[in-house]
Amino acid sequence: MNSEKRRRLEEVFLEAAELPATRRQAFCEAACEGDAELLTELARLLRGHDRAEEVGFLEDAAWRLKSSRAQLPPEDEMIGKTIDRYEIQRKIGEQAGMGDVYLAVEKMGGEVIRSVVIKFAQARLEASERKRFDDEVRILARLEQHNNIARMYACGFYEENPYFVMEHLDGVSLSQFLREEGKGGGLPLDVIEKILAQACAGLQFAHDRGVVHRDIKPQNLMIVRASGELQVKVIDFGIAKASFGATRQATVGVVGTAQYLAPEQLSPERFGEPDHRVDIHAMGLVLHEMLTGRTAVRGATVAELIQKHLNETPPLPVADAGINGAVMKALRKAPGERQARISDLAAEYATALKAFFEKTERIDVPASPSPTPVPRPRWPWALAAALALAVLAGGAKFYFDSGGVAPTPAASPAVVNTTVAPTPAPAMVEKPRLALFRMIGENQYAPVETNATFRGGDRVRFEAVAPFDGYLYLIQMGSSGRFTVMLPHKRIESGRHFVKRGEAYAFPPRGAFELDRAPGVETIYVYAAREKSEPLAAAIERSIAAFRGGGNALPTLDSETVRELLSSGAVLAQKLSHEK
Amino acid sequence: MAERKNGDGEEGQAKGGLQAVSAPITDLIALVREGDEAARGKLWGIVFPILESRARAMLNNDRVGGVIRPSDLLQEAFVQLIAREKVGWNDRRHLFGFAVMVMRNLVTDQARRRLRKEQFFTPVDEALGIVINDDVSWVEVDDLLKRLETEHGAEKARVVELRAYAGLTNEEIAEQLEISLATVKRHMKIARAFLMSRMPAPE
Repeated sequence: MNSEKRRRLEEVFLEAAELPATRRQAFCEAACEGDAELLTELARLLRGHDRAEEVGFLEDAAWRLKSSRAQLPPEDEMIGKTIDRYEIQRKIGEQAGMGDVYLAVEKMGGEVIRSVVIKFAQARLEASERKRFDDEVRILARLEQHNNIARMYACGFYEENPYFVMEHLDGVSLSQFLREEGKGGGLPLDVIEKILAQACAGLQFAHDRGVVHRDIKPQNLMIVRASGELQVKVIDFGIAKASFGATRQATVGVVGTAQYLAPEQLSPERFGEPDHRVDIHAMGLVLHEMLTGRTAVRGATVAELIQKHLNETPPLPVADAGINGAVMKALRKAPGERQARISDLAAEYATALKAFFEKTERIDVPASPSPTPVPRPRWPWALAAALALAVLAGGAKFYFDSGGVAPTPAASPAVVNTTVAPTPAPAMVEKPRLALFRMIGENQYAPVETNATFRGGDRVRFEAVAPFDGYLYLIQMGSSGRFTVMLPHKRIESGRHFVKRGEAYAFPPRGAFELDRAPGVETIYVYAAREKSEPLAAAIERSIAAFRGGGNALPTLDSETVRELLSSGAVLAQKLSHEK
Repeated sequence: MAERKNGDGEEGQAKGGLQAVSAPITDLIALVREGDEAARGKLWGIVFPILESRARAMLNNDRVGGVIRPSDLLQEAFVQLIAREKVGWNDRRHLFGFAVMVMRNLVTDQARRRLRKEQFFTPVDEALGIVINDDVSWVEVDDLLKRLETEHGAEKARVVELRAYAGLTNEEIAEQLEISLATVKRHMKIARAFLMSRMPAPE
């Protein structure tokens, strides 16, 4: 085609493009004057023109910068507005990368029907985001009938901003739940089981329909309390892409949150194309977090997180091999080595937990079915990363196993040396023993290693064993230097404090002590003597009486009495400092 | 990038100091227009870091808010460039055109990687934090732009470039190319139809 003909082509095209489709053919034929080449090219260009118009081709740039903020109408402009039949009440949040979230009520004929959540998507949605929005709508419609997936009622556009009207869930996100219930630590194992089972059920339902969430994280799991029962709802399937009907390029950027990414989302050439198993991996990370109370993969920068996702395995979350097995399988780098289905993860955890409880329930002496540990006195202490065994050998001097001389009680060290060295108290060969347990569920306790990390809010209990038939007491010394006698096991109490050699006695008799949040150093003295200590027994009797009367006072002793006591029997001291 | 490194190194050594000296940007632009590949590398080495730093600054700036338009970034980077380098009035347009070319390269490269499913994170993503609209195959657009240039003239290709890779409005394009708004619209219409008629239908 020569340049003259090109010019002609362009002219005719520009004119024809303005005409209604019905008149184009005749116009072009007349204009081409029998030139078949020109006519063919014209028809082709016109088809291209129509398609370009249809998809809005080149109306926007090919790219944009990832924006940190959504450009949405300000909050005060939105409050009180009625969109469709939803009256906006208040802003309840902002969703990174998506937009603002408002609480609203649905009204019909002036009557409030129900409260809903409206999620506004970022303004000026460009082609790729519009698609994401449409995807979310389509996907949610497909997932609507599952109990563990948040419902969507409607969607539309407010000015430029697309919005979703979603089920209003009266609950908290798992991340908030973890902060509140976990108190900086993990959740009880049976609570975790419930959350995991439901989240996995919702996700399995989605997977069965070819939908992968791709952005599972604690923020996207809502915990709702429905008539006392805990219910989990998976929210925000917005970035999920249906495994079928993929776009031409099948391009999926890194849309998930960096902390919960699967290795194959970062490096498909090494680990294969991401599929539903990215959700299994993410759920594994969430499970890990529920167990430990901390994000499994941490890093100061995205680059560090990516490096860890690709090359490092998170530490084992708990001390039980069965539970660890289920968690760590989900966290395998190779998707093929993970559970095949997300429901398998929940099942494997449940099985491991059952086995674990069978093990630990044998240790757990009290069979009381009381729903909350009662009494659960709050103890003015918290425990530590380090823990040392010490022997008290008369007077006010504390000899630690390290061989060093411990400071006086008032100046207890924050960090305790854990090195074990020969005891400097040769006279006391027989020592009482003390085991530590962490409460992990209703009447469920897991043994804790002597080097375990404790935090404020942790619930602990002790089991002490006397080295001989005689009398056994636990005395706690707080950072303030005050001595408190721990309530002995009821078998000690009814036996008038007499214990049998080798038998384990729990402190407290039921439930657990809750560790204080304030940092400090505590010492637990296990005192065993062949002879009964009258002042100690009296203090305990007084306190037990007070307890029965509804009081909450624990017996305290003055330091002189304690020192005298401790110099007369076999003592084991367990030093516990604690982190916030 | 490699060329820039070598060039700087040689110049630095020639002066006997550690300081790398680059040729005046005007000279580089002239050389690039003559097809000098080494000059192109050097110019890239000047333009890209500025784009990168501006992108970072804009992303970190809360006041920006909302979606950052490509044209905003390019213009900011451009302002930085002419503030830093001595750029003659006539060369400014060429420099902007070059910056747009840098973006075209990045977008195409990125699209190509994604097409090959090579990576989910690409250096471009990391360096600039850019997101590519995936509704169009930009690899094909890049190829077709060359054909558009030979078949319908370079100006139409420039119009598309300024829209696709710089996000300029028709008015801005007219200004940049020193042509009338009506011409921009005509060019755009023809260019779109040409590109679209030669791209495979989706799905």
